[in-house]
Amino acid sequence: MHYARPLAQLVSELERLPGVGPKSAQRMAFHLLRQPQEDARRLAEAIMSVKESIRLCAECSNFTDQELCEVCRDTRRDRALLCVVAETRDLIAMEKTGEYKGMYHVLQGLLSPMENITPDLLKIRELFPRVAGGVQEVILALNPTAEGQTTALYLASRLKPLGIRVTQIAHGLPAGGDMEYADQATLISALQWRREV
Amino acid sequence: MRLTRLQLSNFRCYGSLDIQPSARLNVLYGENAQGKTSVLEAIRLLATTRSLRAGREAEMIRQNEEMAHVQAELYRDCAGEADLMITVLPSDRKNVRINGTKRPRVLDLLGQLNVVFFGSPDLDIVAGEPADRRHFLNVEISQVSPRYVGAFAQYKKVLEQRNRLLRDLRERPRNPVEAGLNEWTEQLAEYGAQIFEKRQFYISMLAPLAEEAHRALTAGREGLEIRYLPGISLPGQVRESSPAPWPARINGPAYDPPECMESPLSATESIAEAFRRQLAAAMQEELRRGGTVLGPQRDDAAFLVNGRDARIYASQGQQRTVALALKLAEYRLLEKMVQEPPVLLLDDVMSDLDDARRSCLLQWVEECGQTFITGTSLRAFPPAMLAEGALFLADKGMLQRTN
Repeated sequence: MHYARPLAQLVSELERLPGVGPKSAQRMAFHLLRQPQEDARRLAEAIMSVKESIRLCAECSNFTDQELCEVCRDTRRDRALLCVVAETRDLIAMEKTGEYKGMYHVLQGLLSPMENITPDLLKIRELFPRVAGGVQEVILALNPTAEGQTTALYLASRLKPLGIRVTQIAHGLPAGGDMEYADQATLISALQWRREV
Repeated sequence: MRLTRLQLSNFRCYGSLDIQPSARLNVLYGENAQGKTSVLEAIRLLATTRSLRAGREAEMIRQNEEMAHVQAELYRDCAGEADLMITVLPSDRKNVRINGTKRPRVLDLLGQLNVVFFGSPDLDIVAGEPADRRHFLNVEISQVSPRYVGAFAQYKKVLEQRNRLLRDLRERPRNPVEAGLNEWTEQLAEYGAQIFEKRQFYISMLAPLAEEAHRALTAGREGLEIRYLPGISLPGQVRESSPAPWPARINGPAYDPPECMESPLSATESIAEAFRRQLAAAMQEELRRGGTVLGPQRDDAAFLVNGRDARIYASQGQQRTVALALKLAEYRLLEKMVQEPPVLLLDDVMSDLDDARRSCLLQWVEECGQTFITGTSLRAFPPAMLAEGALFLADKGMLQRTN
């Protein structure tokens, strides 16, 4: 017994989404089947509208539905500070802190030969004209993974000769965390990144 | 340290098992394939988070069951009681609980329980391939250095990425610098140096203890030298010239650190510098071959008995003696580093040893803390051992205390 063809097609499309296995895909497909027509249409339209209207910000490569993203349009922000992140979701995480008032640059990924992500596929070339336009400090806010660190080194070795201050966010204990429960790699990192008080 | 209780659930042939081992000697006997080694494997899993045998970790789950649990109550002289639990899932993933709290990383379990395992596969450390010796070093150093585990995982990742990039550069030649080769090289040097440094240090600590044990095993007739053969040339005498490790500096001069695997960062830095230089010199060859040609993935160690390589020139009996000496040394070293005796796991070793080595082994067990030893029949064990120990009969996935 197989699914009717359109149903099978929906299940297999859903299965291709990240984090969705065969069982979840089935559950979602049957859920959608039971939903009223307009709910399903709203979802379909949302998907299509994202594909049609979302593009990369001409300045920072953040996702936006306009020429410039919300951050780049905001004239009150500090244009001497530039924070480099891998993905838009990292930018959102930084923005949620409400503490950072500078600009961003979204690389749209990290260097990874295994996934065929070479420097020319990232938004690295776009970084240099921005830096030349009055940026005083570049903050590298990339994950402390092999790929994140390699990308940070790659950028630092190309930015520093331009005479710009290049910094990297600290890796260590989470705020409000308990030292006793921190894993040892995190503690070691916190020790290495310690500073004068 | 010792296990005061061990519970298995759906682990290998055991549906459920709950035993309270003796604080000293535990003898597990029974026919082959009745689950004696599985008990040792479960204990080792708690100590190292790794399966004893090759193959998928999920093979530890009992047939037709969802997941396997191993749980132990542990008493440590220096840290008191702890409750450890590891769950093996069908995806080969594992979960870890310490004192009932789920920990985010499986590796958090390392260092809680320390064991020394000795069984027939250990002959491969002496007689096998370089990969067997690297595996030995990895397992042993992991037990005493969490930083090694982290560095090793990162190194493997970086090596894989860098190899892929080099292969790519051979297939589609372009500017390696623009492609980011320097940065992958830098990461390789940084993590690789930590591995070199720890292996060098571990062998330098292990060698004199192994020499001593080997002398005792051969009635003083045969010397044993262990030589680290690193995959690059390391700067000489790094340790002697380096300053005190950083914990000493942070806590002031009064602090006297115990034998400790964590080393001064400066020693690692000078190895990284040497690794960097040798990688730079090898770059053309690496581009031509399309892969990394230098590094700890090429490490080996040599065991010299009276100056001759035991892998080639020693008899099987001599190789066994070297393996036993190594395990004795490992035990002593671990005891020194964690400042209490580890748990000793001996898997079917009695039958393979001649009388002289067997009596030496028994003397060792005599001096040890908690020991688990397996054998097919009680006849293989000396009466003194049977009188003192807790005896467990393994039969069709059950383990019964018989005395």
